[in-house]
Amino acid sequence: MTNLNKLINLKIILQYGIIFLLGLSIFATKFDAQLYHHPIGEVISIETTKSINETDQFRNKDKLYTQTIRVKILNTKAAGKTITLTNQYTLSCAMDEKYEPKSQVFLSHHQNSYMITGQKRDTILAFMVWLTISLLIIFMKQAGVFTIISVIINISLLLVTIWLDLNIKNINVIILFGTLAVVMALITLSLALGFNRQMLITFLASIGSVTVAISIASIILILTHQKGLQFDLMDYITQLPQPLFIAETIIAALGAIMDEATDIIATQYEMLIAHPNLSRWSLYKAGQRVGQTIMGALTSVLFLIFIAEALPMSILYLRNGNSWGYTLEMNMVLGLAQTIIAGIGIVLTVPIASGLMALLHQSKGVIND
Amino acid sequence: MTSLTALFIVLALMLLIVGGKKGIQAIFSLLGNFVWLFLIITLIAWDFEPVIIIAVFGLIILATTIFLSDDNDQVTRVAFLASFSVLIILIILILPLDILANVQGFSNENSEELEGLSLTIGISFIKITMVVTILATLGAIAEATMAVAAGMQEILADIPMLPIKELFGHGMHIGQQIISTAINTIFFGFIGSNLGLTIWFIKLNYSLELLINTKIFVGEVLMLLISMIAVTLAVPITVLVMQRDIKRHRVKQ
Repeated sequence: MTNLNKLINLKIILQYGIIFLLGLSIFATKFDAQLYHHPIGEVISIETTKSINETDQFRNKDKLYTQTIRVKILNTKAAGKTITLTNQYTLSCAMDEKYEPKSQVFLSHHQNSYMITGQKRDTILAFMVWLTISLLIIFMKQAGVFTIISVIINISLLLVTIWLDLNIKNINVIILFGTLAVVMALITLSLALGFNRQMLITFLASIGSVTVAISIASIILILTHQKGLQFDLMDYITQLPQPLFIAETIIAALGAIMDEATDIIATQYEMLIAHPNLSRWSLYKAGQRVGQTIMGALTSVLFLIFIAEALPMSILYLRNGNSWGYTLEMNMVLGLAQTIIAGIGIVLTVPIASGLMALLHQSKGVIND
Repeated sequence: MTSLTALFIVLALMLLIVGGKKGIQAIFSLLGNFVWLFLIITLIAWDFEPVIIIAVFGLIILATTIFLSDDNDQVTRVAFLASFSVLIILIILILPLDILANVQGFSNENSEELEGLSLTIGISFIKITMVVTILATLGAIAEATMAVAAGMQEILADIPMLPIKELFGHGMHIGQQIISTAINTIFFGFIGSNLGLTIWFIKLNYSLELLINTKIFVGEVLMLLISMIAVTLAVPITVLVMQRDIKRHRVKQ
């Protein structure tokens, strides 16, 4: 018993040790200017010296502010020097930035004058990573640690896949990212459920649902000649957009589908433990009930993620005198299509997961079909 | 017929076949959320204060998603109250964060799409970023609070007189069971919707020092982290709200 207690204490010390060390590293990013090649300065004081009213051709009223900023240079040969420079920003801050005292900024150096090129954001990024990891470990204990591990592994897998995508000529993007999805699902589910029969059924159900959903979507796209879908409107495109559109959808749908399949099959397992003689049909029905309750909310999760991203550009379009129809067409149609395809997958998971579990489970009792 | 219409008809039919009455509710929930989103964008474009808009419509979206998903009164009531609390904490966290991080609006990477558009539209993009971050998180909050509330309710159905103190441990245990898949739902959603951007960063050889300071990358990662924090906080908050709900119930009896 004392040994067990010691082990648990060790685990807790280890967990809080991780949290503490990560906290130290945030503190470090505040002083990492020496590691950068670009000159970095810390804002000492700010004075807003001028503001001018502006009106654009669509009668949008904005204001242009001029800040006079005193900055202490933190690295390069000029370290320690204090300089005064100006920064202009608008009330809308669409492309420009407003700075606050104590924030650190990147500088560019031309002849004898300095200019601010942008905010240094590594400290705030490190702080948020630390906060996320700490909360996960404090509230979720071991499950939190496993979640963090699976996220890290999945990011590494994603990077390897993108490397392959960029370095192998004529590689089939859909097959490549489809394979990534299979591997990611296997690892994520193993970490969440352990490697056992329940996990294998969940894995089969997830991959099956994604595959059927993408196939149905492809058929619909072919039958409707992709009318209304302008794939060249996708953001940040460096390669053929249509396969990328499918690859994005596969990965986005996979998370929600695994979530749902896990819930359905876990509930079915629990029911089997409580009632070992449950017929396959009743088991199927039990899974279906769980799925029906969560399928709508899960589709909304993806819908909100995909559409929220389109919000800034949509507001910009509307304020530039465009109609709602055009704004929707230019900014949201592709995201909506991706959400709906993922939604089809989420709905299909209900019968596929419930059915696979009802068919594949091994019951010790007599099964009345 | 456009592809989008065809896809939506197929989704609606499947929801009906698989879900029956629940399917109809899910269709209404999706359509409802689309209408709310339309209103949010329109009202912000009409100069309404974005922070107030997201506080009000955030609640409406949570209500739409939660009350149209489950029929159990206690589960929906607790999930809604807990989601509301998480929403308030999020707003308090995001306000200073978005001012300090300067991740709003657009960046040089967007210059092609921005051609010909006036950027001085007189609406603060810092506030729009807040709206975007909260919107992207709402679905995940609703889903997590419902899962925990429903799980606790099932335990109570089995053991109706479970002492309130013990309920906390059971609730946190349920949370630990769902946290991994709940976080993976948002994680996969985010990397799916940012796949093009990630490939862009790697193809254009962004160095690490550039990447961890770039507006777009930091903005997207912050959004993902805030969603993860929201889901994590949703668990203990739902457990606490459920405890209070039961206490009040028992006192009444």
